[in-house]
Amino acid sequence: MSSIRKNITAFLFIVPGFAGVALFYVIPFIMSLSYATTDRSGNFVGIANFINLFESEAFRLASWNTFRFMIIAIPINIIIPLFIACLLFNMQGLKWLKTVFMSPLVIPTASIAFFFQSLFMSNGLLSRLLNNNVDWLQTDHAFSIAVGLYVWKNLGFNLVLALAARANIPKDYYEWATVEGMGEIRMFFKITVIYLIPGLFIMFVMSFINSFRIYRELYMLAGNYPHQSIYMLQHYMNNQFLWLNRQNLTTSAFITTLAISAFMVIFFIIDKKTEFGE
Amino acid sequence: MKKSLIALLFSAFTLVTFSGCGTQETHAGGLNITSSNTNINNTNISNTNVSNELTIASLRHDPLLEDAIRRFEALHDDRYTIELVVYDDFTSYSQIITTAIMSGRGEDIISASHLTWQRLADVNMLLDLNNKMSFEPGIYYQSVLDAFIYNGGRYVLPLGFRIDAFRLNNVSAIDMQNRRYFTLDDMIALAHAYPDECFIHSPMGINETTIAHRFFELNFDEFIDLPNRTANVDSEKFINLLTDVQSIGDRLVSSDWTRIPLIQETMLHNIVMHVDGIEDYSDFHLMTNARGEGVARSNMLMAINASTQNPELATRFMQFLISEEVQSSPEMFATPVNRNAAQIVSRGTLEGSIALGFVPEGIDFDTNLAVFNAFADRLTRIGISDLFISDFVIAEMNRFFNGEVTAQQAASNLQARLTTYLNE
Repeated sequence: MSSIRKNITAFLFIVPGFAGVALFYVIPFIMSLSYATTDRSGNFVGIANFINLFESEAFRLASWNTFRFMIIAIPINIIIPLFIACLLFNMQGLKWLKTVFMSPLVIPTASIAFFFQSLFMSNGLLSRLLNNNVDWLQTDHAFSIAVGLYVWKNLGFNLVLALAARANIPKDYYEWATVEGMGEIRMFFKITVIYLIPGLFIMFVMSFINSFRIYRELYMLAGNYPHQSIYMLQHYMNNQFLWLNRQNLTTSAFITTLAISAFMVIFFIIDKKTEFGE
Repeated sequence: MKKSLIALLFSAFTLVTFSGCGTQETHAGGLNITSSNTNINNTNISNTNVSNELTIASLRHDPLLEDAIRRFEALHDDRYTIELVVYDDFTSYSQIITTAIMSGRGEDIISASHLTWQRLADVNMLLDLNNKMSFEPGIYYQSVLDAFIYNGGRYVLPLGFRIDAFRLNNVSAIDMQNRRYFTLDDMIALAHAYPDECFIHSPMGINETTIAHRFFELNFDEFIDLPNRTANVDSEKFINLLTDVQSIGDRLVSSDWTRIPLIQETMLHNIVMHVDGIEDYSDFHLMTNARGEGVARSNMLMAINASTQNPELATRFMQFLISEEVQSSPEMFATPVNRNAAQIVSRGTLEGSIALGFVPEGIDFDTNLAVFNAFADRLTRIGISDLFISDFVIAEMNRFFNGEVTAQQAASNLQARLTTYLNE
């Protein structure tokens, strides 16, 4: 009885939070499936909306750009903070650099967008330095700018994770390795990297989630219809919302959710199977 | 026990809070909405009208609509109640109205001038006025009315229009073949024939982008097929348009008003227009494409919401808006689409100008009327009404004329952006 009472108590505490998630996420998502399988008049059309979506050049472009951004930006956003963390950990008197790297995290998105605009617009700082009149956000370099913006903004977060993970590696291992005559580079790959992998996994998951948030800055920098190299899935979905095209919006949201869920399942399966650090 | 009680109370409180997120309808508007009618009801946007009520959405204060409403209500012995809902902000108007219409709500009649109305028409959110309104031959400037037909349907109604015209001070150097219209090729030829002349004055501060944009509009359907959602700007024709305008770009002098230009740009929104004391339209030429087709411009477009609960009354009011009575109102500030009203308004303007001494007596009104009507009959096209497309085109043209990109790059960039936009 005591156990049942405890469960009931626990359930009652969980209910408000769960009710909120259900009311504002789960139930609307399930309801949106009805739009994904009907046309504008409400007639059931099966998977026709999904077929039309995959035939849409705009959706394919957005999907490819989002995927390309993730496979380029996420590794950079892991390797650089990892490298900096290892440097900072061993250096004395440079702890203030942590504050410097962390500061982009606390700057408002609008300020970041304004800053990058002043750098890269047609009469911005870069154009003046190069003595031309180019709006870099309207060129093929827009993608590189987006990657740079993402790395700059999220570097501090991954740096904190990397430093925390680095601090958890026992010093004894390094002492033992030194005694055994192992060099710095070998120590890095044989000890540091191996024992950072659980932390790397968390960095990877957080970077994956944060890669979708770049949309806020891109929207403020370049609006609803940016250069085609930075036209992301969120641009596509936001524009569908703008035109109240519920069918395309819900269909693309459903596909995106499936894709993200699949990625996350794969990540956790890999993590479970390898059981790094244990 | 204590913990269970606390948990139970907490859950109950939270669930009651959620259930309090109630069932009240939120209004489509809510941002700076005022109502400017004697029957003030700011919240009447829910389309639960009975048959004698109508709502009209307007961007900014519109004296013509207010006058039309008063006349309509008086004509029907106040059996009908028409409410004008005025939105003060351009940006929110477009968003609010589009959202309301696509949600199946919104006002019965809407001012569509600042909306991407073709998109609304594509998803059947606007009523097709064909077969619902009557357009008797000879009563209206039919070419102007028909210019706004989209995909076989008449979704918007222009109440008034303007004409883009040039006054040419010297055309003998180019072969106009007694044409009353003026193409881009004619402009290029004139510029090259008179390399040292002050070329163009414009009260609107014309530049290369505006000229290129005008000629883009004149050839719009060769570049963009809206019904089929395809673009063809990555073409030699578009590149030539940019380079041709660029070749005369250094000739666009608009600041030295002491020199008489070869071309003076003006807008005609009155049959009798007095600019620099001219007395007739013999010097005026209509700006057209190579086929002699001109652009009808109107910022007085009205449309009926397809979700209206009162289509009959809405249609009847729209018919009234293009009647001679309304169109000859002193509040009309463009050329009325009703021919008789256009003459009445223009004669009134002329008489007033003569009385005030702005214009000498003796102007041949009938000759001017014939020239104006010849221009109006050539207005078979409309300007770019999709604001996104217009922004894309202007942005790429600006980048080209500012030297940021080549013509080929501008064409390629524009093609990519338009393709993405049209394929969404």
